Amino acid sequence: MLARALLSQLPPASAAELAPVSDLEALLAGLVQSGQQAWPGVSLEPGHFLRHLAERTPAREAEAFLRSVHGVDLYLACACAQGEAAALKVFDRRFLGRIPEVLRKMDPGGGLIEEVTQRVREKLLFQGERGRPKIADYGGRGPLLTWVRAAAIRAATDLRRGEKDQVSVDEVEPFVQQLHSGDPELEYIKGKHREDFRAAFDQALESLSAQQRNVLRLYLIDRLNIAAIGTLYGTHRSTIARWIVEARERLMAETRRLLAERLRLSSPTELESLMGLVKSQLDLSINSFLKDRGEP
Amino acid sequence: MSAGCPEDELLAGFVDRTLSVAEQEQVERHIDGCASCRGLVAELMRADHSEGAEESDAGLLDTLASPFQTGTLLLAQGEKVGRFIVLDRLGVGGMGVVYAAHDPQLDRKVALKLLRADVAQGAPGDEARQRLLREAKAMARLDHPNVIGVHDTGTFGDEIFVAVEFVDGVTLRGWREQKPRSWREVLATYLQAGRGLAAAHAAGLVHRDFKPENALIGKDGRVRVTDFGLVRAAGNLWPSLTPAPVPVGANLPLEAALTRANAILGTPAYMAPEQLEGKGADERSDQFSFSVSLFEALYGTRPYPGKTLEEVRRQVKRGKPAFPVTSKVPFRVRRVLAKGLSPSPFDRHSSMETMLTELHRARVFVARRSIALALTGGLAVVAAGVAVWPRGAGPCSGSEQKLAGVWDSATQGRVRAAVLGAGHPEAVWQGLESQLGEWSRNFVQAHREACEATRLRGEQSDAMLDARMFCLEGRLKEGRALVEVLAGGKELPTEVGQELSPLAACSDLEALRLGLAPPADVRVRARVDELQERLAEVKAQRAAGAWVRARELAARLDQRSAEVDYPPLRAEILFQRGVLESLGGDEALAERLLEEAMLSAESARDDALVANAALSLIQLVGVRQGRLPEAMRLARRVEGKVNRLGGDRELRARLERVLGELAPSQATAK
Repeated sequence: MLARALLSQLPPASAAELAPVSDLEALLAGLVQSGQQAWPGVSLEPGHFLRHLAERTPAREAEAFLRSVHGVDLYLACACAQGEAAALKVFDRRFLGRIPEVLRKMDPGGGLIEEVTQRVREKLLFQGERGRPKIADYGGRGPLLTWVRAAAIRAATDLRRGEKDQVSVDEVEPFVQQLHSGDPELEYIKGKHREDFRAAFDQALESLSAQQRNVLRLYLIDRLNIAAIGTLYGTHRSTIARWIVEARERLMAETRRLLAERLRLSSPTELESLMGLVKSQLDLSINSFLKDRGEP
Repeated sequence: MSAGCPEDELLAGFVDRTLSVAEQEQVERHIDGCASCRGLVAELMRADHSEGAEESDAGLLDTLASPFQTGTLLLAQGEKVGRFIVLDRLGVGGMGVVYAAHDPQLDRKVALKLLRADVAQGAPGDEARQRLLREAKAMARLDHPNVIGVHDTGTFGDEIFVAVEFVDGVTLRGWREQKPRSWREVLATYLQAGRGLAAAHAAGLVHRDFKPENALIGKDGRVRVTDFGLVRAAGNLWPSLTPAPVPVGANLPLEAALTRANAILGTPAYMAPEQLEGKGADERSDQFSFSVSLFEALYGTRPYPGKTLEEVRRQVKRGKPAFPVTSKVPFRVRRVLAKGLSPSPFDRHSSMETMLTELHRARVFVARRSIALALTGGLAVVAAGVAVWPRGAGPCSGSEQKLAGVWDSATQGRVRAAVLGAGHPEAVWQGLESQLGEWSRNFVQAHREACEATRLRGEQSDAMLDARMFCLEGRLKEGRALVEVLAGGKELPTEVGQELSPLAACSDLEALRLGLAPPADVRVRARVDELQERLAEVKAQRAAGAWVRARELAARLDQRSAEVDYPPLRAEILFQRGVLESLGGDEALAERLLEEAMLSAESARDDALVANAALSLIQLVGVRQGRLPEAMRLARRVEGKVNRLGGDRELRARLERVLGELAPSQATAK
């Protein structure tokens, strides 16, 4: 019954993949039942749920999706998208109610919390641009709570920035600034070679992989602890620590090498004295630069 | 969220790790350029994770990369440190970074260590740097086959660099793990390492961090102890780390891939209790570390197992090393080890030297017993575990007797009396005793080995045996002459060991076959015998600094040897006289003598002597007289020769010294 209902909603490719699955009926019955049991007060037609599920079933590896889908969460999201009153109430309490806890670390003062919760509620549950609430976008591939938290954090950041899109970040300028005031000779050379410096650092950053850069920033700028980064990349804390160390070392060595290369054109004595100064301070500077840089 | 940003669900999936590899990479690339999405990911992770781990994070990064944290330079390929050009980074240690580098002057590879003085020495600034430099320089003077050769030291910015011999080989830890090793093999290898330590102690250096990772064994089988005295503050680093469990002990397989951090944490397992308590280290602490390392290599476990530093400490305090119940390692070895592992430094062997002697005896004892058993078809009487093979009954057991009158208790007593009588402190005598003791042991070993190769194993001809014995007799004469000078008590050579010709040359079958075989004619041989004795006297006088007397003797010897047709001796005499004349004598004469010495040595096919004579000549004409083009021409020739000789470390060191002396005069000449 349920199997036939689902298959009829699917495009031919995924239907063909699922048709031979012998326990498909039991699988779907399980999804429906656990949804009903998890949210006792929520009423949702199994047919509705199956259509919702079918719309989110990918064309490829459909079976794997059905076996791993967060069915309970998807069930509630489906009901919410239908505007089912009990579901909306549950969602409000069990999911939106957790937003303060999510934001506490971002916004210790708590001034944002109410505003954000309201925004997320509006955004997720009310009609959006495409004529349906945003919660319909939830596909059941991860926990609903994470998804909601993502929305909350996004909303909080947007609010704080005054809805600014993607601030372009100058990663180099503060570094150049920081290298190293107080030494007149270096100040002079720094002024003279500022552009070379920026370029060298930029280029050095480019020599890292996207993952290396991300891990480095997550640790130094976003100040995640190493265990958290480890969870994010599904690997052990000590592995991440090694990545960080290697990425930083590489960044430093490259900056110095590139700088030396660029300055080869200037007079040898000047290059020598610049490198001498840079040698003793560059590594420390990069470190503190990346470290001290707060939110952009 | 801007137009290009992925759906929240994708980011949430990234955090929950539910994405496919392709999607994951897509997010990775996106957040690389989008700070706000990256921030979102970070916030999601942060909400999930408890805070407060940041402090231990810093510690973790610290152990992985203290050079980074402390600002040690990271050098790129092609950078110059002193005269060395960086090739590649070999590794990062607690105290600094090690690079492979190229030495353009001698066209060879070196290992270049860069150390932060203040970190390594626990004291800030110039003073620490000076101290570290002094130690590195002391190490550079320490010329011993079982100590890593230091080519050069200097400062580089805030750091100290030490350029050391590049060893193509593995650490003793790696060596032990390569394949099963018999206890004999293990012991022989560690005896070498022990000799390196003993040599350092004799020079007043303490290692402070001996462990299997700090000794390298080259493909040539020679062991070199590394990282001497550079890690002074290791003890001070510990208090902050003590709560961390230290992965030591038998329950952890040694082969387990320890992370680098763990490997560093593992170090205290080798430290003597007095070091762990921060009381400072002396030679006896090295002896303890050596014993732990040897124990582990022999038995595969640590003597004081424990999962935490505290547990290890408690075990050490009890002082009962956990010897395995069954083992092939003989009991005598075990007894020597147990003493070295005593918790109190006062209960250990009086010196590294003593411990090595005991270990060596234990090894020889068992070896002799098994030879005895082999010879008598296993019928030797063994009572209560003690072999009763009578001393001196084996065909090659007379080696020790050779030392009678050279270095026995009577001569030792005379030298001691002379040294102390001349007002030198006891330590000077002890230094002499240890150096000559080592020389004697090596002599006995070489002598027995030469004998056994023919008499027991039948793998060498009688003629070769004769050649080796002839060579060893020559060495023995040198030893006797030197001891006589010492017993004379007037002058004291500082480095006795260096004044004696290398014993190893007497085991160099190729060289012996080529040209250093004894003269065939009996009468010539008798003459050579006698002249060798005179030559030994010249060397001993020179070693003692009595140059005038040595010069007179050499001049007389030169005349007497002129008509003896045996180039090896003739070359040696010319060389000695040449050197003596160049030391404050007639420089023109010295030049001629050294040139002749080179020619004679060539015809004796004694490459090492050719090189040595050439080096003396370079010093004379290049450094002293400033005739650079000639000196450089000669230097190039000699370099080729030394390179061909390959293994002769002493010669390499000398070549380098001479080239180093030449360099400044070259610069001023420009």
